[in-house]
Amino acid sequence: MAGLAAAFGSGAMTNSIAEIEDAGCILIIGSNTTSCHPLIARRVLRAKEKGAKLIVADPRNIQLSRFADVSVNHRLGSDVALLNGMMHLILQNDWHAKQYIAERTEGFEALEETLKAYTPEKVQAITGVDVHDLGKITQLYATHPPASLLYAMGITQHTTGVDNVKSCCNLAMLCGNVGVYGGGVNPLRGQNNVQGACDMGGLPNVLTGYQPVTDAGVREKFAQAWGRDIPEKPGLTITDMVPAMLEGKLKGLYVIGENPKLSDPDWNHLNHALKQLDFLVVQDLFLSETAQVADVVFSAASVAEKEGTVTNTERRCMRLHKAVDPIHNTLPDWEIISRLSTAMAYDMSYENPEAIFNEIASLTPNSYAGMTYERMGLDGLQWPCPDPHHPGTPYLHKDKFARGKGRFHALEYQDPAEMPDEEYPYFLTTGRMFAHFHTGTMTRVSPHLDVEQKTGYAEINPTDAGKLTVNEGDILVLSSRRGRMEAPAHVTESVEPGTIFLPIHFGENPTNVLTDAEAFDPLAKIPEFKVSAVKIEKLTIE
Amino acid sequence: MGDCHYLYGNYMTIKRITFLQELLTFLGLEGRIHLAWISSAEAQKFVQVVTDFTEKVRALGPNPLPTFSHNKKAALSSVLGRGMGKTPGSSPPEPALQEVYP
Amino acid sequence: MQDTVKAWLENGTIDVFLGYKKVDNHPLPHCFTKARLEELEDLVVSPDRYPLEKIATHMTTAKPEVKIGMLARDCTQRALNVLYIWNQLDPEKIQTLNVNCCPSPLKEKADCSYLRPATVGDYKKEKGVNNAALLEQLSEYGQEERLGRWMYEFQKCIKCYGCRNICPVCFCKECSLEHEDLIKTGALPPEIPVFHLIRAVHMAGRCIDCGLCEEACPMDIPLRLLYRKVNDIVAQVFDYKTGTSASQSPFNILGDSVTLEPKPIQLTGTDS
Ligand code: SF4
Ligand code: SF4
Repeated sequence: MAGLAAAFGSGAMTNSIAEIEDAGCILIIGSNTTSCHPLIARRVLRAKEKGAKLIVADPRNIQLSRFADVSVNHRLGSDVALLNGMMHLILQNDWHAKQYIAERTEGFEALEETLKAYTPEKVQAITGVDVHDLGKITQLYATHPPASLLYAMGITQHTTGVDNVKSCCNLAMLCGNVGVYGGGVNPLRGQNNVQGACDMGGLPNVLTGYQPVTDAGVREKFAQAWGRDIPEKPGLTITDMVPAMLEGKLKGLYVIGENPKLSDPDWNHLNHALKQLDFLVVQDLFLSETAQVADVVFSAASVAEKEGTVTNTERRCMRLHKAVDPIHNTLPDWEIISRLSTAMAYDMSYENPEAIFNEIASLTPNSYAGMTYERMGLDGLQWPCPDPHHPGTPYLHKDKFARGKGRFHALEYQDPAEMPDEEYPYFLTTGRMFAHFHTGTMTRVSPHLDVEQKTGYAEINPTDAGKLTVNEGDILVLSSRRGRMEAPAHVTESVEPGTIFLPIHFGENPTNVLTDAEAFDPLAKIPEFKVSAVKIEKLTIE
Repeated sequence: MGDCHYLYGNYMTIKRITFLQELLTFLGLEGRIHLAWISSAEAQKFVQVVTDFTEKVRALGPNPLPTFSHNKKAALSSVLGRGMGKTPGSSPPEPALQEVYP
Repeated sequence: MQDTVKAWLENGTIDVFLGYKKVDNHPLPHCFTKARLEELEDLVVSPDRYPLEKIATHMTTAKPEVKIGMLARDCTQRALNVLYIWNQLDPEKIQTLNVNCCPSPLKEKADCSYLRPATVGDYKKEKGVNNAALLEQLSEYGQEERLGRWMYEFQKCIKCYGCRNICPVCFCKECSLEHEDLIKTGALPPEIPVFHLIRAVHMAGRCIDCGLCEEACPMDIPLRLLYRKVNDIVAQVFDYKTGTSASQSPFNILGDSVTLEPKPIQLTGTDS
């Protein structure tokens, strides 16, 4: 999100989901769309069937690769090089939107300078993408407007995550694809409400609607409304919290509906940190791996048992309706937090979620101000919705970028923090499969989903499997500089030779034993889940 | 017909097999399923049917389904490419992508 | 309409009524009861369809004694017939309020597949199977091409089970589609064409061509066309017209007489 905000001034999907259907060309990079965002994949295929061009750039062969006009497997972590290579060719062929660039953007000259070095040969050397394929994808993207760019965790979970996002923005602006119907740069968010949680200030450095805590005026406004001073220093990101725990600076942790023991990088490191805590509270509907080591665990009302709103990936804020009363004595989250706060001497009392929503609207002038429960109805409203008559905004940056001018960032390619070497010769990447969600706390207890995939596995290319004489189902031992784990092999051409893929959902085969907590994006603090180096052996029983 | 050990088992079988034959033909997998009545006393006939059917399947060539089983675009297009082109109302073939490199 | 339903609920003909309620301009399936008669003001006939009869089946499983009324189109009636035959619903406990079948710009007596003519783009024309095609049109393609086209469609499948879940006549407690030994698990697309074929075969004698599955399919796979073929074969081979009456025995499908003969093996060219 930091990358999008730096380029455009707003950190969200620029266009709407439905618009994807009307795109002229769709570039999917770092997203296994059919598995992780199936209803967006539906739009992609519809667009394709209507005649749009489809480009898939992914280190793995995904379901959508089958339908792509051109699909390329660029090497893990080489996104900036690939995108720079595309832009190099766009400039060389004079396909860029000159007027758009002149009127609406800044920083173009510096980018132009940087791009000179990214000749197709150089890009081929870094990414492994054939120069002709690079030419084809560039031509498709540049000459079939409006072109929509979709990305997900495959772009962000890198040490260069923010650079990757900025490069996507560069490419889109270069062809004048931002601020137009059917185009845009569209990050696909994982949960129904990640966008909402970020909008609500669920980040350490901002209040609602990304109003920075470092801004005195903003602090003053919230202090007025809440009757308390607002701290001026940003809080800790989760990546900062782990060292703080280890240093003893952070003594208590309250985890709401997360399972960091599986979702955070470097399992051993985190486990050690959690042990240093004086007090760990976990609020979760299920006894997750993290809940199992907590001092206090309690449940809460589930999604069907509470009122409220969620804001989805296309910035659409929608109401949740309570279907059944909470079972036993569980409470909805807002009530738990209110009570906790009251017990801690700040009297937080709201009548209902609507009262909270109205407060949000009143304190979030640009994006949520015009929304009310009544106006949202069943379809919801897309922010920005600044006043009570504003119809909501299907696509952002129409005539003007949120930050004024769109900003190009001249970026050089950097290697991932860890590259395969003699000792650890394989690339390891992690990701998801269609039947499970995140750490599997919810999906693995569903018999229908569990039957799809009961255990973790490691995808390995038939060539590599042949070299190691590994057959489907044989147990592989994977080790990295940080740890070691076992998983049954799944021999498939989904991964290219030299690469191993592990799904993250399975607590008994925790992938974060292998991944690196020290490698994260300096700005967004997103850990590099997508690239590490491992060695593999076949488990032999003596 | 009708002299089945399981009463009308063979009546049921022929209906089901006919159904399946029709359905597979509709999908484009014709001729890969066969039904014949052979009693336990008809060894000669059994050999004949199995030989004929083996020959027929061999003539049909390898099972085309595995070509669709991996996520490689190449696989899809090679199969789709074959036998295509006389599609009623299909669009004219697209001009080949011009080489933009070098 | 409101008055009839009100009278039924009041005089105990039915305990609940399944219809559509308008909520923020969306017709949503709703269960009207005697306790909240005022809601009947919002009862509407909806152009969008949900399998009300499937909801009735679920209700009956939970509470066999409940008497259910519902809005019924032609397809609802056909589905009910099938559900009566398979003992999933008791005709004595079902009351239907018949409504005009979907008005269609193309056909006088509606066939809902023509309600919203599918937009079929060039790529789909070239590689796939047109959702609006008639069965005969497919025979214009040769075997190999037909297989390629169907496999193109099946490869889009994301195994969401939408087709099964919405189907009014899918009621088995254990579904073959979730059986690990029949369909390999854990992969997308699911094992094809087996996934779609198993569902197709199981629709023999059950599918009443309501088209809900195709409407539900996020990937626009022409499922209805496939099951139409199934029904077509069932009508030819078994002389069974699915859903047309509540009395025709499904055991026709087993049959104790037959006029079919095994087909000879043809060594050259293609059969039939
Ligand atoms: S058309 Fe589809 S949903 Fe309707 S009965 Fe047939 S299979 Fe079921
Ligand atoms: S509804 Fe469509 S995508 Fe979903 S399982 Fe059925 S065929 Fe597959």
